Amino acid sequence: MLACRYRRTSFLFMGYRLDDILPKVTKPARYTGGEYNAVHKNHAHVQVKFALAFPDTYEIGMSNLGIRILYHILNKRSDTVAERVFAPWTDMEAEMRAHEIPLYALESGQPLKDFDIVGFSLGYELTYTNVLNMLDLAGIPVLASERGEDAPLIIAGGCCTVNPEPMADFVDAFVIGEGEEVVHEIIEVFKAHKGKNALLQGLAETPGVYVPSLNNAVTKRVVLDLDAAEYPDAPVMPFIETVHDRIALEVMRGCSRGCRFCQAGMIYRPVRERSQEKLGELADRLVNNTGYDEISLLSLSTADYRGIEGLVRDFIGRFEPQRIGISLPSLRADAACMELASEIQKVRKSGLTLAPEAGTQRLRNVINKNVTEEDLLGAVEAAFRFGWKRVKLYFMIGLPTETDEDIRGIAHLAQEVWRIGKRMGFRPTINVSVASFVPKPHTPFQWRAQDSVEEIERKQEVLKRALVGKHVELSWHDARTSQLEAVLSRGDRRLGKAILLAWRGCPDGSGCSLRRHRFDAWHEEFDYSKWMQAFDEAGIDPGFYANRVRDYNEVLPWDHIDCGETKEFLIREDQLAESGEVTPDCRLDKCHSCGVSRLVMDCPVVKVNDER
Amino acid sequence: MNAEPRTKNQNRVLLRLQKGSEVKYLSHLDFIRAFECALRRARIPVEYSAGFNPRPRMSFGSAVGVGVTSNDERIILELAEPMAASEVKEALNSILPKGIEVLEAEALPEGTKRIVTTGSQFKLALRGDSSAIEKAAGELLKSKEIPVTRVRENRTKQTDLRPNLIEARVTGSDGDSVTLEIGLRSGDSGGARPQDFMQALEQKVPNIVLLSVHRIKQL
Repeated sequence: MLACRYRRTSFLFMGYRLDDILPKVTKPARYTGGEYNAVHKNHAHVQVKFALAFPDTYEIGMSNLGIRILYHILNKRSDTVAERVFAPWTDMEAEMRAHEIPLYALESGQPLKDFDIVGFSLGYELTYTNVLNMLDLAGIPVLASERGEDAPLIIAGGCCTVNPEPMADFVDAFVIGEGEEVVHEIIEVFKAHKGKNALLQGLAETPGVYVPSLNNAVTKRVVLDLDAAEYPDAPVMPFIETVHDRIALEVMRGCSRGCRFCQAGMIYRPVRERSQEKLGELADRLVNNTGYDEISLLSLSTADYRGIEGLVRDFIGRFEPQRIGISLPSLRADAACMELASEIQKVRKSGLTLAPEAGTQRLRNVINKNVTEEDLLGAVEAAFRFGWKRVKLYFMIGLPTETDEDIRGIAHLAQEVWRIGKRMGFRPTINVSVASFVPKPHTPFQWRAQDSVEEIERKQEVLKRALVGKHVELSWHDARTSQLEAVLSRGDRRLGKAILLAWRGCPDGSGCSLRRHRFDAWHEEFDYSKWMQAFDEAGIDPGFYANRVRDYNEVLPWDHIDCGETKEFLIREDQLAESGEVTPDCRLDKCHSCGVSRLVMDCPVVKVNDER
Repeated sequence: MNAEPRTKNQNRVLLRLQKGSEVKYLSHLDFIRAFECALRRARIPVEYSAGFNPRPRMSFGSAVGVGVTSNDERIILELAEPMAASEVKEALNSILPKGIEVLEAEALPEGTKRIVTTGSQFKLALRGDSSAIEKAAGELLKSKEIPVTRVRENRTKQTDLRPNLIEARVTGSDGDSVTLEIGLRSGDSGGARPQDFMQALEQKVPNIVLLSVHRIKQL
């Protein structure tokens, strides 16, 4: 990169002198747009300008399927333009602030402020401060109460919105559930509105849209027929390498396994599949329009797609001659699944990832992770036979009812995996990755306490000691990050004050630096003490949200958000967890009356069971 | 069927590409990735390497730095089956991202091994006093030695720019806007880069600002 200063009146956009600053920042191609398949429309020819905002870096945001879907749907409308905006990295932010360049959208370079609607994707609680920072960089007041008639409408969607309260001070309206259909309704309400109050009223009357200033009760939106749903067949091709730099083909939505810790498994019910025919058609179009050499079959549990074997073989036959690989992001731990994966891996060889989640059968029963040690070791043996040499095992610690015996079970299981390789005459590479359990809203564990930071760190030590000399590499999540995640995910509206304080930094003269807080999801930027200080100043005890057992009768901050599951179901599941009893997959067993059939007239699961 | 075994150097096409201002902030690796995807979209019958991770068989000339535009980025493509160079050019240009364009394509004669260049000609747009810049450029060409410092990962290294400086002349000026063309040698000994030249020039003329760097051609 040239160290000299560039001075040109404009690089691409609007007369911002980006040539002055882009040579100085890391990965400047994050900020220039112009990618293949990006959609450019004349703003004068549309009625609604919609900015799709992702509160993290370009590389992460460009990998997000929700953003891709909405970009496609909105830009298909002749009355709307959708453009992308991501959180600039700290070096770019500093340059933008120094040069007074407002946050701009990548397609047109128009300031975010000039858009009609800014829709944030909230997929992870630790990106909340980035939402505030992006609004501020755009010159938009961060507090909804301080935004006037001329400010854009700020909305948010994504899985975090199943508990919208912590972000209620900053967001005008939240979309609960799937966006494909409701986004059209939002555009129509926007086009018809006269004045902000009327707009918010209209949105509150739209099914699936929560307006915090009006406190309306909301039921999540579900797209029943995935074959009929719009799907992006010409996604924007990022210029720089992104997290998921391949074709993402969503084969199925929802999961029926019923793992009790898993929020996605609960809130994306019922299970719906795309037909094999539709998938083939989409894959062909995606291959032609992108030039990617890999198709990832995406879902929460792709191995559970009915007819997965046929689909994979069909795809291998169709795409292998074109040197296009197929990948399954989630593998079930059984030998049949390994055999299937081994066929795929003929094209690409990579490590094998399995998620036993807990170290003992007892604890796996508690969390309803229906995989036995026998399944797991059988899967590993098969995988080694098919040529894998590297295994990554995902676990959680801090799970309900967990004892040190369960922790040592992780080491035992990892050791067994190693022994299988040894018996087969080689030394496998085994990575054990340990996350800390975060109780999430709308799951059977929503009333549970998270282990304190000290307890998690003690358990990490127990595991480290148990793994000494066990030929296993261990990595773990920072306990303090997980605690913050727990506070933010089960928080109420009072947390808004702490989020604002944490982002803004401390007032001058209070003895701490003015550094703004953002990129909490990034280890190098995360500052726990700053957060604790913010909680303190906001008069909030983080332990109240993270480490407290709730009573089943307590009114929860997300009780007005209906994601399908009834409280009776969640309580029943939590009680079964306590006694270590499992609930089988409803697609293989019977309907367990989770409650989602109240939302969708014919739950596909109920229908399948009836057909049998 | 053709009984003759395919020799290694058949069906090779040399491409000369433009790296326009729209894509000037792409690294060389990003540029290659964008080009690889374009190859597949255009369904160019490119030869693939063997192994677990097959890649299109291609080779590249020297790459320009991030922020530099170019009219001469070179790629040699190995094709798995014959395709006319003009067709390759046309197919790629219909699906390349804005800012990347195949300017020329020619079939390579058998036996050409790789892209051999000895240097590059750059056009620099500057802001500064044109007569001072012209004088300084002349002085640089006359000097026996031009010491410049390079910083790489906190290590500084002294090098001599002079053996790698082929030419430097002002080709146009308008007010305080000056266009300068320079020829720089590349090569195994390290060669020189435009920023080396700028460093030497700034030592002689303090108040100049570099507006843009463009590679006109490889030598």
